[in-house]
Amino acid sequence: MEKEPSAPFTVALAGNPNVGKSTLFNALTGLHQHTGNWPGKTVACAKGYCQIGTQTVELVDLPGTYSLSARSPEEEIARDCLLFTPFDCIVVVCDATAIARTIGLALQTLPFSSRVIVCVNCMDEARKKGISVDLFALSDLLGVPVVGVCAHKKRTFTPLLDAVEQMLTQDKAPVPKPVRLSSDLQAAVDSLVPSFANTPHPFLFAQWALTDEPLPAAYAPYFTPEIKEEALHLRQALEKTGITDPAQAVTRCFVLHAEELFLSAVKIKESGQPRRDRLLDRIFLNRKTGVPVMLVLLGLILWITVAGANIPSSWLSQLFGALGDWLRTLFISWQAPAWLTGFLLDGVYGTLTWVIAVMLPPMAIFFPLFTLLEDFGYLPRAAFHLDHALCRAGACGKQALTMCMGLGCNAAGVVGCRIIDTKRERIIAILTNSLMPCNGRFPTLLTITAAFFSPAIPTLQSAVGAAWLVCFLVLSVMMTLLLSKLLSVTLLKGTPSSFVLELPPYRRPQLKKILVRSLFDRTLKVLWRAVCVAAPAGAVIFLLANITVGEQTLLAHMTAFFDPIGWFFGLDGTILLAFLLGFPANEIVLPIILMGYLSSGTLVSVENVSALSVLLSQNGWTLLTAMNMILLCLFHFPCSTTCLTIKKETGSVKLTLLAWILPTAAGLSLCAILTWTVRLIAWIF
Amino acid sequence: MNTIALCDLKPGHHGTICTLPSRGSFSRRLESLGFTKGACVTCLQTAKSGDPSAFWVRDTAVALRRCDAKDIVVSVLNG
Repeated sequence: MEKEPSAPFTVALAGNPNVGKSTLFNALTGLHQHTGNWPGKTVACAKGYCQIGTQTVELVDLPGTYSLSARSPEEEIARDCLLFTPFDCIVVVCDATAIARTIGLALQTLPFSSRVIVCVNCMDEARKKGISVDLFALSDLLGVPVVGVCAHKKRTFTPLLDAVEQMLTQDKAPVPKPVRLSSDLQAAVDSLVPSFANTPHPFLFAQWALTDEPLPAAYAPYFTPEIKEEALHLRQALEKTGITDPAQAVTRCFVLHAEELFLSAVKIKESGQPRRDRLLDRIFLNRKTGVPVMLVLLGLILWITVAGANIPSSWLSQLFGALGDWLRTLFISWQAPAWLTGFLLDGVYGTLTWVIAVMLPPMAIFFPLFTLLEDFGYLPRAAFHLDHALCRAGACGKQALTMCMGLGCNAAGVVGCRIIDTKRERIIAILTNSLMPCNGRFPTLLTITAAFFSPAIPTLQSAVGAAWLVCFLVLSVMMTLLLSKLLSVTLLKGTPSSFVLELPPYRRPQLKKILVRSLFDRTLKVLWRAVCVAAPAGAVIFLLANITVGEQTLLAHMTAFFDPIGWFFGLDGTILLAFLLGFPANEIVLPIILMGYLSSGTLVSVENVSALSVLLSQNGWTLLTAMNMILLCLFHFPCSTTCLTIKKETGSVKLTLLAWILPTAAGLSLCAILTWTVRLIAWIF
Repeated sequence: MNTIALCDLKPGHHGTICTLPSRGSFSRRLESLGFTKGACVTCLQTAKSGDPSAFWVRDTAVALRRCDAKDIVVSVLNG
């Protein structure tokens, strides 16, 4: 396909998972794709522009894939994009510390494209480990340019940029030296090639037809019954020559070739495993220390979040309070009507500032800390420990990774489920993701815990708060396991599929980058979303609380309606209504409850926790109500954004509905069980 | 030579891969991760319940479940 001269060039970044494609992409384009030290971070193609020499280039960051025979949806995206986009240049990224394994994709790319540049990343890390890669020798053996970079250091990019520019401006493409299949295999593939002459990659499709690999959906019709018949005959003929499994034989040719490349181009000073990593793994993966260390790490992060968030939170409330007073005097001096002042200041401004003051500090602390662990390479180790439990629940071990993402944001967690290979396990992970409390629910949990479950001794408060949060998270994990099990024995029957999880090398986290990125990308993004929802929600709630029908306000009518239902579950109408009204964003649930109680019809910022507990107690809250509130907060329907994401990812309204009902049913039943047990005990004694 | 299933390799022990499961996309995934005939494998750690285990193969650590590792046969290199 010819490109119009005015159109920019397109360059693809491909490679195995976790070789640093996204880091390279970010450095080249100046964009901020989320990166992290675990395989499967990028689940969709990202596009960006960069200037290479005099050329403007469109850069496409593909999800990581081990090979062109796709096993999971993200791999399929990468493969189809790689095969059917007329890229002007394909940069295949490999890891210098594991050339033999990561160069496989480059070898598979060579047969169908000559515009390939092999980019060896992590050169500095390899040097530290005593591994030296002979780039010239590699280039000689592959027949395409090979360049080395360190994705974290921009100044190492020059050879890569030069190579890309040369590839784009030169008419003469390099002559790649693809892998030679063994002669029997080659002959078999060759005899199928004519049948696929009308497809973009006849040789590749012929090879897949022979090995009975599913073809990309658009080209599946080419694989007619006659060709299937022919492929079967060829396979039978191959069996006579000793090749019982052509697919494996083809893979073996590639693996052997990669090994040859490795032996002739890579020198290792001291062979063996990196000592530091194994030492760390002895702690993190250990059967005795692994799980306790995981809990301690979690507790530590939460403790720092709880302890650190209090002070800036109260500063922000005071600041917003003062600003509000100033605005009020301004409105009065303009002689604005009271309803306008109320609507704008008490409704919109009040809700907005509450959400910011309560949410911003914990998020600004939690996200960077969590990113730190992620960058370090800890998350796959956590998945390692949770795998057995998940396996018994009929789910995939990678679900632990999506659960971790759910801690940040459930919508992100649902999208992350693309790393799970089989559809059954992916749907289980999607349906149960909202059981992990996202960052929008953290402040509610924190506040209720502080108000009802904290000791009087101030020095212990944050530690106890963090301990409670750890308990809640453990409860969340247990509920996830329970519901996953329930799903896999009822609606989504099946046995767990095979599970392979790469445990990437530990990397020193890039502190400065983490601070900046997690603050801007995650914290502010999530906050902005919350603000977008909070402002209109504040307006609606203000109206509900101030429009009077008959004797009472609309809000009072609605809570009165929900009261009996709430009583059954050990809650009250206001709480239930708040959860329903908080559907757009979980952050505003607690403010709505407070507004419901204070009939003033405005959101109140209760800076003092004890004032809050007094207010709640006056409205009939007991320890039981607080506990039920927390249970419902942990387990209820996902927010509207997450629901939309689930609909998009599953493509099914039914499943979205199930994702809505399942956690809600779980939360309400837990509340009912707890409430009636307590009531029964109270009645007996 | 002492051959056992990969899942029975004890932490700290090494082995060379003799046979791989023969069919399916799973074995191809294993191969693309470095589990090939003749490759040296070390068992790094085993999780609390004995499942899964982490293996060191071709400069990478990879976790496999017991049921997946039982079809891979290795010859033990040390005691």
